[in-house]
Amino acid sequence: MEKNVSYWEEKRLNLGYGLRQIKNDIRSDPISWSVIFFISLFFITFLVVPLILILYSAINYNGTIKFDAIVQIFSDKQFFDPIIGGGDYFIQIYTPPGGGVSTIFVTGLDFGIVLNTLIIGIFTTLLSVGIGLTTAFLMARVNFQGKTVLNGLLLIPLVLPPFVSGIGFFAMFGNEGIINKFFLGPVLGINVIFQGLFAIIFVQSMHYFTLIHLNVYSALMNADPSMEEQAENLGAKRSTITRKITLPLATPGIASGSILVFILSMEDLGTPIIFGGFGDAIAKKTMTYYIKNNFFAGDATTEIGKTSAAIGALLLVIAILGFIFIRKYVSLRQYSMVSKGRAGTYRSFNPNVFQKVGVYLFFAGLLITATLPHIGILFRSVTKAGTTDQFTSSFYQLIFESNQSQGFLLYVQNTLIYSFTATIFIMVLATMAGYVANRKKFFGMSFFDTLVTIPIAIPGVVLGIGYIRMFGNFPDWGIFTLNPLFFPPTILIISYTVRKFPFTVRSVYSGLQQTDEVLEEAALNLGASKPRVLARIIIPLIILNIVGGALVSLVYIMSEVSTTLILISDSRYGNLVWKLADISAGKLGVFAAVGVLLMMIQAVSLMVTNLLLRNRAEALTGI
Amino acid sequence: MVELNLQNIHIYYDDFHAVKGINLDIENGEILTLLGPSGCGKTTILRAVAGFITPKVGSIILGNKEITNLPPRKRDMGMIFQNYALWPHMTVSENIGFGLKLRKKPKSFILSKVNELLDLVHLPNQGDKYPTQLSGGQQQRVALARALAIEPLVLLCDEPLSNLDYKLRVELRKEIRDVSKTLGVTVVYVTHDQTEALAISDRIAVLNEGEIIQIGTPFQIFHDPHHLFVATFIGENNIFEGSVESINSGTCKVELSSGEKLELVLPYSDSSYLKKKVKLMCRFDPFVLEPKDTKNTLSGIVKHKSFMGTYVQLEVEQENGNVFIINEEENIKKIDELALGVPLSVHIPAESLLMFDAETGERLGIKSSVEDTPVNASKSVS
Repeated sequence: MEKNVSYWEEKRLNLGYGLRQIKNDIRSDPISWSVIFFISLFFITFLVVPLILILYSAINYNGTIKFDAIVQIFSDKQFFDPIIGGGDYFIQIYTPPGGGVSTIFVTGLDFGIVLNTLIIGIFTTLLSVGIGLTTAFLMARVNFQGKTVLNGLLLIPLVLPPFVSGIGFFAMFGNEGIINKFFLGPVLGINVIFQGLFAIIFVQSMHYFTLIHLNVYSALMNADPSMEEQAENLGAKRSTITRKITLPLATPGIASGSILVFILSMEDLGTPIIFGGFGDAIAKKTMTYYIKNNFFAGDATTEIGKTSAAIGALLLVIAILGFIFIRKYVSLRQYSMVSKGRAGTYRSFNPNVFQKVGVYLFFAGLLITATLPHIGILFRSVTKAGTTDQFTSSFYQLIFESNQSQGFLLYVQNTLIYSFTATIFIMVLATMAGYVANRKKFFGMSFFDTLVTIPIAIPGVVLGIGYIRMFGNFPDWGIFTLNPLFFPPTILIISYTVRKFPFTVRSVYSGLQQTDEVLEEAALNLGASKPRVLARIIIPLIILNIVGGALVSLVYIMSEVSTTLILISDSRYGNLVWKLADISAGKLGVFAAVGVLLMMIQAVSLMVTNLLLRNRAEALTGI
Repeated sequence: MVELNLQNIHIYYDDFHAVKGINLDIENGEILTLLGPSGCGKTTILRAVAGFITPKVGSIILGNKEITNLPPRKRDMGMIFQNYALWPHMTVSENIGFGLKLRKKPKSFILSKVNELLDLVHLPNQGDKYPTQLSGGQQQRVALARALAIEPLVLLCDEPLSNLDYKLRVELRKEIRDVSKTLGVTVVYVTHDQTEALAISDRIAVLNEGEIIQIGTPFQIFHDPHHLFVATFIGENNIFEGSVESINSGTCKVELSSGEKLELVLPYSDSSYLKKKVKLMCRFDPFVLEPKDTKNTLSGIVKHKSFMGTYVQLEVEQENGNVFIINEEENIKKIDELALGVPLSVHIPAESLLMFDAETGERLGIKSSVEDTPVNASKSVS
C-alpha cells in the first residue's frame, strides 16, 4: 500500500535534503566555504553593520523611531534652499573703487548643502560624460596622428592626488595665481577667479572625465566591428552609425562610468576642503564637508549627531540606489562582451584638414586645462613663496625632515605603513573572494558578489562615522582596539581594505574569467589537492591581474581622504593626506612638494598597472 | 542587367600584397564562391566589393557603373557576416527594417516587407524578439533577411555558416541558395569549406596566396582541376610521384618512384613531357580490387582498415613505404573481414589518373590556354 506523506512532512523532507546538500558541499569543499564565511563576516562587520547603525542613528530617538532629523534637513535653508535669493550670483564683476584690475568671480549659485551636493554630482557627471565621450570617440573612431602619445597624456588627469587639484588650481587661477598675476591681469586688465560650486564642478570634471573616457574607450574598442560595417553596408552615414549603433552599444560603459563619477564627486571631500581652506564659503557647503566638521553631537561625547547621521544616511541611500540601479541596467545590456567574430579593425573616420585641426585644438585645450593643476603644483614646489623665478629644493628636503613641527617624515612613514598593509590584506582576501565568486555556484552567491563590490559606492565619510558610532566606546586595547579615538591605525587599515577591495576583486575576477576551468580540473584529475591547484596553477595564471588590481587599490588608498580625516584624531598617527588637509597659505611650498611626490607614486603605479593589464578599464574604474 | 566585374584588382596591407591582380566576371543572378585556405585573400576581395577596402590598382564595375571608390553605403549591396552582426539593442524587426528606414520607406511598407522576409526565412512571428533570444541558425536567418530587405543588387556572404553546427550548415546553405535564386539576386560567397562551396555555387573561384588558380563549375573544379593545388584542396586524393617514361597518342606511361608503371589517358601531349618529374593524382574510389589483368596495378599490404558505413576505407602500404588509400563500396562485408597485413593488388583505371608538373603544380595533358583558367594573370602586370 502507498504511504501517505502529508504536505508538511514533504516540506520537512525537502528542507532536510537541501540542508544535507549544503552540509555535504561544506564537507567536500571546506576551503571555499570557510572563505565565503570569513569574507562575508568581515564585510558584514565592517561594512553592513556600521552603515545600518548610521541609518538607525538618524531615526532613533531613545528607542522611538522619528524622522525629525530628516524633516529638519529639508526645512532648514542651510541644507535645502531651492529658491534663488537676492544675494546669490553666478558671475560677478568686481571693480575696486579707485580703479585698477577688475575681478570676475565665477561662483555658481548656493542652494543649500543637500542640493549643492546633488548639483555638484549631476553637473560633474554631465560635464565628464560630455568630455569623456568625445575623447573616447575621437580616439577610437577617428584617424589622426599621435594617438599613442595622447593615450598616455589622457591618463595624466587621472594621476591627481586629493588636494593637489585644488592647490594646483589655486597656483594657476587663484588671486595670486600665475595666470591672473602674470597673464590676465597685465595683459587684459582683469582677473578671473573660479569659486563656489562652479570651481568644484570644474576641478572635478577635469579629473573624472578620464574615468568615462577609459570605460567608453574600452567599450568602443571591444565592440564587434561588423556591427558598424553592417549598418554602413545597409546605407547608413557615419553620423547615423554613431547615433544608432556605436553609442547604443557603448551605453553600458557610459552608464557604469557615469555612476562612478556621480558617486565620487558627491562624496569628494578634498576639493571642498581646499577651497574652503582658502576662504571660499560656498565651497564648504557640501554634505561631506558638513559631516566631517559636525559629526559629534556635542563636545564631550562620542555620539554621532542626529543631523550628521541623517545627512550621511541620505548620501548613502542616493549612492547605493544609483549603484544598484546601474548595475542592474548594465548587466542587462552587456553588449561589449560579445566577442569579436573575426580579426578586424574599425572603419574609422578620415577627417579633412580643418576637422583634423579641430581635433588637435580640442585635445590641446583639454589637456592644457586638465594639466594646469599638475603644472601649477610642480611649479609651486620648486619656487620660493611669492616668486616665480627663484628656484629652491628646500621643500622637498622638508618632506624627509624628521623634526615633527616642520618635517613630514612621520607622515611619509605612516602613509607607507597604512597603505601597504591594507594592500596586502586586499591582495590576499580579494584573490580568495574573486576565486570563490567566479568558480563556485552556491546559495547566496549574488549577495556575496554585491557585498564585495558595493564598497565602491559607499561614501567614505558615512563609513567613517559609522565606525565611530560602532567602536567609539570600545576600551583601549592597544593596537587591537578598533576604537579610532584611542588608536586609529587598525580601524583605518580596515577601512582602506573594505573601501578599496572592489578594484582588486574585479581584476581577479576578470582574470579568472579568461582562465579555463579545465586547467584546474586537469590538475585535480592528476591528484593535486585544491590548495596546491590554487598555488601552482591558478595564482601563477592570474598573478598579473592580482598585482595590477592591487596597484590600483594602492593608488586609491593613498588618495583616500574621507575616512582618513574622520578616523585620525591624533597627529602622531597622521599620514600625508591627513597632513595635506591642514593646508595653509604659508606652507604651500612643502604641500606642493608632497603633492608632487604622491603624483609620482600614482603615476608609476598606474603605468605599471597599464602595462600589466593592457588598458583594462574595468580595473581602473572598478565597476 | 547587373553584372559585377572585377578588373585587375591589387590590394595591399602595408607591404603585404594580399590580392594580386584578380579578374572576375560575375553574371547576373549567379552564385559565385570564392574558395581558398585562410589568408588567401578571399575575404579581402569580398570587402573590396562591399567597399570597406579600396584596391590600390584595378576597378570594380557594377552594371555599367564604376564603383571602385564609391562608399559602402551607396553600393546597394547586402552583406552577411560570419558572426551575424545583429544589433543586440534592436529587435529582430528593427534589425531587418534598418536599411528600409534609412531609405525613408513608409512605416506600413516596412512592416509588410519585414513580415514577408520573416516568412521567407522561416521565422514568422519572431519579429519582436531580441537577437540574443534566438539560436545561432535563427540569428543568421535574420541577418539574411536584413541583407535582403533593401533588395540589394548583390548579396555578399562572408563565411556566413562557419559558426553553425553541421546540420544547420547544410540546412541553411540550401536556404541561402533557394532564397537567392527565388529573388534572382547575384551572390558573392566566401568560404573555406569545399563541401559548402560545391553545394551552393554556380561557379567557384579557387584562390591561393592572392591569386585565382581556377574558375569553373563545381563539377569542373572537382573532376577537372587545372592545378595540383585545386586537386589537393578539393576532395581527398592519393598522390604518386614519378617521371614520364613514354608518350603515345592519347596516352602516356609514368614510372613511379615505387618502381611500378602506370598508364594514363592524355588528350593533349607535348614531347617536352618526356622524362619530366610529375605527380599523379587519383581519388580514393576508382580502384578495382583483385584485377583480372596486371596492367596499371599497384600492390602492397593492408595496413589499416576503417568501416565507414557505406564503404570501407583501406590504407595500403607499398614495399617502398609509400601509402595510398582506397574507398571500396562493393563487397564491403568481405572487405571488412580482411585481416591486417594481407597482401593486396589493385587496378587503377587509366582515365581516373590526372598528371601534374611536380615543380609548378600545373596540370599536364590539357591545353594550357583553357578559357576559364587565367592562371597567373598577374605576372604580366606587376
